[in-house]
Amino acid sequence: MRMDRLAFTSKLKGEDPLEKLFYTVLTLFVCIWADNLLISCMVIIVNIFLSYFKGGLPLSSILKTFKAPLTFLFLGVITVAFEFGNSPDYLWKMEIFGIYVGFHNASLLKATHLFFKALGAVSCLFFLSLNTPFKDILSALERLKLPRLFLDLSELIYRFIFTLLGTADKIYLAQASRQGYGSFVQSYKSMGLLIASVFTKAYKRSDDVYEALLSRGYEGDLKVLQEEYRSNKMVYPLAILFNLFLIVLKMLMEA
Amino acid sequence: MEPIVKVKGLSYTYPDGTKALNNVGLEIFPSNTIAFLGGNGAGKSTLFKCLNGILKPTCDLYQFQGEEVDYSKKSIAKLRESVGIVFQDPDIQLFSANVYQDISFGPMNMHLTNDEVRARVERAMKATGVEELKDRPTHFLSHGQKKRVAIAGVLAMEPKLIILDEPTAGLDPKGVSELLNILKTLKEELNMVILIATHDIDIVPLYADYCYVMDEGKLVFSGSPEEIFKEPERIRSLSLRLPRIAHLMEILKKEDGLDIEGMPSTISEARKEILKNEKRD
Repeated sequence: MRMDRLAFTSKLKGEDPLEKLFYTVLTLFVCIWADNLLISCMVIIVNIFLSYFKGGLPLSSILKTFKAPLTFLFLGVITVAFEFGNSPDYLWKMEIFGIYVGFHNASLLKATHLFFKALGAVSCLFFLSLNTPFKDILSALERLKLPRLFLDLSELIYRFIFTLLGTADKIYLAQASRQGYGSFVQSYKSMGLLIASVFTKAYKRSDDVYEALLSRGYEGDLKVLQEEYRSNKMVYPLAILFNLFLIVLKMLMEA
Repeated sequence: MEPIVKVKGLSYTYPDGTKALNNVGLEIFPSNTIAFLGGNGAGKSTLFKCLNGILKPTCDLYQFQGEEVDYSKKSIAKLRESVGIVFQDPDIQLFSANVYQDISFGPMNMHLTNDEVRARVERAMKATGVEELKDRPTHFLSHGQKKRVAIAGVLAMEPKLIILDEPTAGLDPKGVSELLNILKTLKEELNMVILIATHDIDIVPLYADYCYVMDEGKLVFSGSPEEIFKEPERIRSLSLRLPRIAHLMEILKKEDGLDIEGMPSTISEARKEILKNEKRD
């Protein structure tokens, strides 16, 4: 939600979304393919740098968006770092039912690699979503000839998530103001009622939305005027150059 | 003068058997503002949906600008271009996350050139004062702003007749006055026929040239605001009330014996009548 708000303040908002999508996807794949600590770190830094200097977003907001995936990544990576077995080179170990559990150099390294690879990939997606409103991503996908139905549905879902959440919020308040969340059992009951009524309301509303669309001449396609974006011809060569550099770097390090 | 809308014997029954409209007949003349009054469930919204072609009623006659509407696919498409509805809840009407694109939706469906659509969107945004909201996402707008964008979305189709369902509902005083200014622009500069359903009785004598009062799916009463408010008993029996000013004048006349002609229901009319009495004393 906050990311969505930030995207509207980014200075890169008016840039052609196809260019941003191209850079994001290319870098994402190279980052995953390279599976290299240095390259992952470079990708992360470049993406933060782009959002900060080119997008003009506050650094604290950019870093804050990384908080959520960091927690998940950290928890996920811990399970990778731990090894079972009787290998002698444990840095730290404990014995459970005669089997050693702990981590050693190789497993720690593997976990760190994985951690930064995933974070690098996430940073690519964050660059895109912090600097491109969702609607613009859809219009880029439209130019890539994705099916109309899929795009129209995504647009409606995106638009009405906010109304759905708003409705849920109002019902929650109405329930809470009457002690609906007073006890544990009561909370369960109230939450059930809330979910049920949000969905019946959404169903009723979808009928109303359909009628409103009809009244403006809807014929099955959400036809709207496409926005005109600023186009920077340098983005494609620069994105390719940057990724070639990463690939060469990877090759050199392997050699 | 030829009426722009002529309806005779229009009835509509919902699939569940509720009879929402019963033998409605009306005539609407060019450059008029018509108020539709009536309690909740009187059938106002259903009537509007029939006029725009969302619902298909049975009727003896529906003429729009002298042309018969037969609810065929072609005539419905034409109807939707000529009759625009602004729904009560703007959250229902605004489907796009982008203000500009939402406004362009109606004219795009009319198969116009992109340049023509762009020009229409610009004009509609100017008339409703939403130019500065152009780049904002729909879901971060206030209720009043959403309402104005919804009006712009209908206005961009440049309909002959615009219907506003409860346009002032849920707006703060500033929002109401902005909306009424838009109504004035539509009426005076764009010369549009405006239909409003409203519970806000106080705006009726200010903006409406003619009123229809509905009850239980029927048109029960019609006339100019002066004619309608001259019959307070009848108005009250239909779960409506007089405008506050008219109510005050009614009391001054009955209880305090002021000599008041007709039923003044706007501030300026009431002022004139009170000053007239003052001079006489």
